[in-house]
Amino acid sequence: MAESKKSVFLTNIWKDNPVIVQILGICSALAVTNNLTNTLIMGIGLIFTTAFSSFTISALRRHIPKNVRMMVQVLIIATYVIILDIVLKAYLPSISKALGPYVGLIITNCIIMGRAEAFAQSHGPVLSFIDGISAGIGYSLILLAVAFVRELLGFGTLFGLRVMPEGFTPWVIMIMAPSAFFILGAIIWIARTPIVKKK
Amino acid sequence: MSEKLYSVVFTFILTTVFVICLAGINAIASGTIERNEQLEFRRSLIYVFNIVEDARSLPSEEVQKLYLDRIQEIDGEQTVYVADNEGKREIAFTVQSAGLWGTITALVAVDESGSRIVGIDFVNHSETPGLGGRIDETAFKEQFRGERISSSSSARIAVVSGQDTGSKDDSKVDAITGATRTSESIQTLLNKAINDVFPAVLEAVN
Repeated sequence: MAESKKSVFLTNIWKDNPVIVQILGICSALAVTNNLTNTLIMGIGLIFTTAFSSFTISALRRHIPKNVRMMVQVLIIATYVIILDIVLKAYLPSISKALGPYVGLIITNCIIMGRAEAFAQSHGPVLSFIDGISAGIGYSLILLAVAFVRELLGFGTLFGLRVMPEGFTPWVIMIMAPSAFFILGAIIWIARTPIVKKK
Repeated sequence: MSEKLYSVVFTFILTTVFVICLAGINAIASGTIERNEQLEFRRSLIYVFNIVEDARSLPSEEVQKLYLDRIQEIDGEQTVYVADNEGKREIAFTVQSAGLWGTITALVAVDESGSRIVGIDFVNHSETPGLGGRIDETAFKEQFRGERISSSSSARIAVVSGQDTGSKDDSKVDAITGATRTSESIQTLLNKAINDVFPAVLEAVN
């Protein structure tokens, strides 16, 4: 195997980051990032799902018939998302309530399918698991950065704790989805400038 | 085995295995989920009746104890909850109405004469988190406490922007910025609660 575990991990977090380089998972990046707590949980959910579905798909990769490949992948991904949903409902009910419909939407996050197709299909289970975790972390880090700005300016809080002074007027635009376009765009611009230059 | 048959058999077996796994996990967790939901519902009841200052942070044993001590459950076509507030009866019931994305289920408490809202809580909804989802915030729900119910059947409590005077007698509360449709849905839900559900509930109680 040419790629080492460390290089797979670092590539996904920075050089080939799913959000800022591959521009995947944008839908949820816009939707859940007006509040850091929800973003963190969404990130953890995605890390869990991507890691385990990549692992399972990779373990089964020699047996999955090519013509129903994608169907099987979706089946595996959906199974892990439902497990996540049940676990959240049973043990973290307040978070499950806060995330509401978004847990189900993890299934449609293209990062998971993307990693399954691009990586797990052609690599071993352990390496795929690491690939899944790092893709999830890469996604979460960018989302947390967006959420940091949005929650700070939109509500004047961080993780629900007030940090801005009393007289601070919240920026309503930051709570709404359009602001995520601007912030995400700015982050992609800033982060990719050095990457593009190197090439 | 031909390739086509293999695909079918493989998918069938894999699906069966996963379904069995999920059924197992669901069976293990369903008891806990049910208990959580019941606890949350009782906590909501304590909140709408305004029995304690901060129902959200009340430990679960306290919730159960207060529920059994203070709230009376009346079964019927729809379960109705009755609490006594200094000699006056207050009645709580659930109402369902359409929201922006899905059904909103609210728990509404009204005083016996139907003149004022005692409290409101949203048991279940799928409004946009951060926008319509903010109906869950205490600041929004607290506006309804003690608000007079208007005689106009199309706006029992008007959820409006910039017209609320802060008075408990004007039957108006502030809507949520950026969530016009959700705010309208709440007004519709309360109309339904007062016009349709409350008379039936009152009959069941008396």
